[in-house]
Amino acid sequence: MKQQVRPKVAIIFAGGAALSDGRRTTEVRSPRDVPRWVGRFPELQVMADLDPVFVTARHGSDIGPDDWTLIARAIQPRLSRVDGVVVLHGSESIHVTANALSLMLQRVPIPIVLTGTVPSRTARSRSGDPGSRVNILNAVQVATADLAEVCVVFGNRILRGSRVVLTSGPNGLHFTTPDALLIGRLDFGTKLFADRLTRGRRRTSVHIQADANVVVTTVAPGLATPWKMSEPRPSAVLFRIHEPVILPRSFGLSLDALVRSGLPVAVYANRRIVGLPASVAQLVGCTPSMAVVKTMWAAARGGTPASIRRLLEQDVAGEFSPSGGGV
Amino acid sequence: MIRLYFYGPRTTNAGLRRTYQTVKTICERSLIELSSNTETREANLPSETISAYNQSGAPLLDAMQAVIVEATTSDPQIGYLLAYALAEKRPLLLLYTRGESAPDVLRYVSQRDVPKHVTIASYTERNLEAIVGEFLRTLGDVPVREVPRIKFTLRLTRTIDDFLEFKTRHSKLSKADFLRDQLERMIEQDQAFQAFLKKRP
Repeated sequence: MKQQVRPKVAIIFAGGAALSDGRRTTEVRSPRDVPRWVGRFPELQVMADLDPVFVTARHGSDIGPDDWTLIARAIQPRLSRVDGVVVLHGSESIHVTANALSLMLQRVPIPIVLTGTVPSRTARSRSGDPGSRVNILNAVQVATADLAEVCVVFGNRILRGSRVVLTSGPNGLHFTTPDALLIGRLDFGTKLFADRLTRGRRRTSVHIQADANVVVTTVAPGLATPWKMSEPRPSAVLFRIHEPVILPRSFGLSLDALVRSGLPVAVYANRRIVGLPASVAQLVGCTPSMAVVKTMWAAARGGTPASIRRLLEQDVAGEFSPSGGGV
Repeated sequence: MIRLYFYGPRTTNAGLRRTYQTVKTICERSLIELSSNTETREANLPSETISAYNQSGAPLLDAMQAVIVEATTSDPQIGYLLAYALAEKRPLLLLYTRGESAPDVLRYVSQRDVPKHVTIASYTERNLEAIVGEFLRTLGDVPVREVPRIKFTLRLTRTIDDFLEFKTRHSKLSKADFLRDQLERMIEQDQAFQAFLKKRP
């Protein structure tokens, strides 16, 4: 037979790997389950040489900063050894982990593709599987494509990891971006759009950290403000503001006082708020989950409130820019 | 109507391009709704169907009931389509030219892992039509029609020509297609000829 150089793809098990054929379900709850899972999905070996790695079996809704760190640490040494990485993840929080990985591993030279196994279609396929196998097959295919960024593959969509949001669609979970733009589509194969980041030699910037000790609080009409310092003292505070036009006048002053006490403060709203002190970071234009994740990530970097503010407002991984081109 | 996807890697090889054309002609004559990467418009589907799939987030490949792949030349898409067909239990015909090495992807599929719905066939120009026709018949009620290959010159009277012009003016059929359709109908209904065909070796 003609010999062909096969791509090598790392498969990171981080929950979300359940395979069903209608009669039985195969899950990966520990490293011991990995060979059996791979054996029950021989189709993947047709496409690529696999490097399977178990990281966690945590349910998607329980995944947090410690898990993001574990996943990023499993990916980092493989960046120069494989052609792509697929992360199998509980669908409920794929977008959050994608946000985190976009910040932790910047300017990656290969695709880091997250996908999950919650059905994207109402009907089961002939194999009895609710759509998980096709998602994973598609993710492996995208992991061998000319792409070099963190992305989410779900159904027929390829979405930039720093911009992806979770919504609900006619068939259940649905992923999109705030501007409804994609970096690619899967219809009969992978179609990538021009705005994606492509493979090439680059030095990856690695910042694998996130601080869970961040308070996220909402400012909305009728809620008591300002927020009172709690114990233990958080590493940073993020205010999510729903109605910027009706902020109490004292609000800005109280935020400034918090910053002067050494606490980094960020505000997330759907537009820039006029009149807030310059000491407060304004996160405008990113997704809600990215605002939270970035605050955790920036807080973990340490430094003064001013340096953390600058980091928060900097477009690190395309989180503030419209993503992709096609729809 | 059966929906089928045909994939042929980009090539400048004249023989392969003839193969692609033959496969597409057989499918079209068998009233298959054919989508193919070898066409300018890959998805041959009603716009409402495409829109529905886009909205639901499902790939258009899910709308196909079967897949044919010309796998003589190496192409990563071939591995993907084979993996998809295996995973989704979708009928697949994998073709490669006789005399060439078997497709590299087959190294990773053991004999016992090749299920009944996947057909792997080496073909020649001579038997290609039979192989594809046989595969289409396994998909169900597909009226597989032969591809016309024998040139036949026929002089017509003006009246016959006017008649053919009249019958085909507002249809997509050419005069030659119209005549072939009429003859094929006669063949189907001719019991003596059908009996003759059955006895023929």
